[in-house]
Amino acid sequence: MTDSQKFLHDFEEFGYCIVPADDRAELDRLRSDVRDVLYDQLKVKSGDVQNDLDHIHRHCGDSAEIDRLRLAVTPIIAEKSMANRRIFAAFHSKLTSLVGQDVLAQRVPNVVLQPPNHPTPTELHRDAPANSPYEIVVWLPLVDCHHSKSLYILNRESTRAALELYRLNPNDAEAFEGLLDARAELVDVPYGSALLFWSALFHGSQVNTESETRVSLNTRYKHLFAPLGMKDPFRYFEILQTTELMRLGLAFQRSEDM
Amino acid sequence: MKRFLAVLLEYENRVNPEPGVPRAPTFGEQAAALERMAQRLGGMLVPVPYVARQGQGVGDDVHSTLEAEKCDGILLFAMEAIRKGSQLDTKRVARLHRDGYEVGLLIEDKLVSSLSELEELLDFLHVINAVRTRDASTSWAEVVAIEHRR
Repeated sequence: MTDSQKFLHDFEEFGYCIVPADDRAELDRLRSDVRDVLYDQLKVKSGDVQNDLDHIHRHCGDSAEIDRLRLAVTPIIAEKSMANRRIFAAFHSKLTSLVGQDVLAQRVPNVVLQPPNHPTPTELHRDAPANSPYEIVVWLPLVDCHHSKSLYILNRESTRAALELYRLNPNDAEAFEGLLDARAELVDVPYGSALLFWSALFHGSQVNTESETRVSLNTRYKHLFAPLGMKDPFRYFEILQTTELMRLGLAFQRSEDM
Repeated sequence: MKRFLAVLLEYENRVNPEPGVPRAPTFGEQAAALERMAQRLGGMLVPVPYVARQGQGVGDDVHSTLEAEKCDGILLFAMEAIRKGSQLDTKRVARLHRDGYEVGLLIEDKLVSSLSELEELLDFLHVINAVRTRDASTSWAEVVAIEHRR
């Protein structure tokens, strides 16, 4: 089995994979841009990129200030840094093998800052069914993420078991907690790699008890003609790339409007 | 100063118009937001807005209104304002552009003032129309069911 066949096999079996970037230089440039945008907002002089991001909490105040910073930088990182385009480029081979060459991308990737002991981690959730179940989520740490600095995920089988448990015992929070403790996998994702996961998997994060901040981006891709889910496609997605054949087809349809 | 016609959207459901949104914005809220958009574009709204009912879209009368009000453009509260049934009205958008009007979409944060911007928008509209048509069809449901059984 080749590496790419193994990747596709594992992705289908578990619903997720941790993969290294095809284009590390592109990823490094994106990370450097994100650091610059964050430090510009904070009006703090920057230094080593990894150190700056790991210790950004030293320049921030309380949770409210971190949220304000996150909201301020999110549109800048989306527009100025063209993050969705560059993430796709950095992980091109794996993403195209999953979603194809005609691609819709989330317009504005999410920026997450999870400083040490920040009291509001991401609750357990899954993106689909509100999002399309034909969608791939790219979780891209810009620092080395391990233990509680990372996120946890339930693979396909564990997600199925969690849904079944909830269906049979919707009020048994203790049993659900027990299942999470037994099955949730805290994934170690070093900088330079990304976690690619299916939108229907449960995932979340804990309070980060490490001494460094988690800085990560997450965004979503799907095939241009994949079913939509419930989110407004025009608000959340944009056409990222099309093949020559797709462009001919679209031009043909357009000509009938003009 | 440019003059824009505001198109307000009369939602089918005022409560929970879409997942996660508890209530639809009122006409007053929509008009205020469109007024700010018009100002950002260096213009103002003409006094009387056009109202599009969700699912029925913008009718032919919009063109005479634009002409009578000597408008430079049209600002729609949301893309939903051009949906007729399950389809987004691509021909309407193309005609508005062909007649020389700027077309703005507030919620989607889009402005069409050039041919390339029109083409980009029409491409996306055609894709979404095709996906919605397929997803609502019985043949697609059969395909999904067959795949599910595999």
